[in-house]
Amino acid sequence: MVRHEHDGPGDDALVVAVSGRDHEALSEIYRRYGGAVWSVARHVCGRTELAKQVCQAVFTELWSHPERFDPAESALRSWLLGQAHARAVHVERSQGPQRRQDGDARTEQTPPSAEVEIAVHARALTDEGKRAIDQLVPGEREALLLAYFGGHTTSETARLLGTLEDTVKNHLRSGLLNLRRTLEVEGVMT
Amino acid sequence: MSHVGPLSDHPLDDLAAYAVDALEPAERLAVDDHLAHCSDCSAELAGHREALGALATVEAPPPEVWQGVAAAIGAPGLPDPHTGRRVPAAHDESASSSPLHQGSDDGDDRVAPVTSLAGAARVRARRPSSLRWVAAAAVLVAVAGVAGLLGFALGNSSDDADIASLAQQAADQPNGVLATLADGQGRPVARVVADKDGAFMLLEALGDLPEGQAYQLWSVGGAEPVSLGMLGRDGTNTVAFRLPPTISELAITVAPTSGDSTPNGEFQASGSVLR
Repeated sequence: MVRHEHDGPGDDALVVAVSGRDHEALSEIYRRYGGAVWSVARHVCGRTELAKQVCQAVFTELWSHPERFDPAESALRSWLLGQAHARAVHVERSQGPQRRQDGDARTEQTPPSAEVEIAVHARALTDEGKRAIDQLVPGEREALLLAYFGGHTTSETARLLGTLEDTVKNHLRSGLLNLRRTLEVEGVMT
Repeated sequence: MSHVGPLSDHPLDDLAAYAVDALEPAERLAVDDHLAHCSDCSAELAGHREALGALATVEAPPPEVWQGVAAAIGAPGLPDPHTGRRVPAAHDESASSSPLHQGSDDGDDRVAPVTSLAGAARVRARRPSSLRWVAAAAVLVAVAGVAGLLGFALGNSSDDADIASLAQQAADQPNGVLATLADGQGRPVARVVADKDGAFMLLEALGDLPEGQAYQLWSVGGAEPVSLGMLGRDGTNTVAFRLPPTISELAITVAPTSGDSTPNGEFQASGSVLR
């Protein structure tokens, strides 16, 4: 679990309070995690206006359906971030129909430079995140940045990196596992 | 319950791609199916997400975000937790005024539904200007483009004179009518009108539905139909909603009150959006 210390009620208690229509409880959750949710939405969404709407939706959704958060499955923070990422990716992909097509259908377009895009996404990283990402083996780092912050599908990521989709998926898995190990060693995760 | 079987039975690579939302819809559904009965993979997924959650820098969100949340939950005066400032009475319009495209081709049913309009509806009841938040919430549902928005009621507003009068004003404007939806016999039964704050669905000649059923609005111009929300069970009604600019074809079906994930049965009405 990622370490995030907060005074006052625990996250799970706050969600219970949200179920009881406690505005202040939602406000406190937003105080704790609004910044993290916003950052994920902003990094994935190409447009700030879309990121605002994604971020807003994550919290209004928690208000409307607090029962969808299962504390037995995940921590509130990572659940909210997962919601934000899924929404942001969905919005981002729907911005351009060409993004929904397979690589073959896009050969007429100039492919964006993967290197440039990876460098842009790397700027979204915390210091700890950057250190952990930089320790990944070649391929893992690029796949993670393009898929997570770039919102690319595995087929798009494979095309950008000039590799196979199965290789991207395998790199994502090994990359995430290695990332976890490094973050645990650094004390960011327990 | 834990999945029993050799490790190779677990879609571990796809699970990682799932954690970063990089799978195509069909692949994602397969992982969803697996996760439903495999606690090992659920735990693995949670670990992936924890790690991902530690990556991004944290920045304070712009004040409009909290303004939108506070309005939507019916507490528009609640101070912004990041600035301590109270939301001004006149909301920033940026969250609802920007064009928002809709993923009508994704068939995404993993993203959770977005938001209830309950809070926004309460605000709207007090102040007509808050209608824009209804629109904002509705368009976010459209963005999610999900089966999960089942049961999401677009502002059921038969008793709301504000909505009806605003819709009528919009209908009276030049080019105010964006679409006319006709039934199977070609008779016009509903119209979509728009003003600067959003769109209104005017149900004008549909029949009232029995308890347990409701009209459901769909975007049907994309690769797959996408639910835009529930319209209530009254055949004559005015409902505020946001019409994303990419939507070209609309259709209305009869659905259970909780909504359908895909249109079932025939269209009660359909029509093209004029731009």
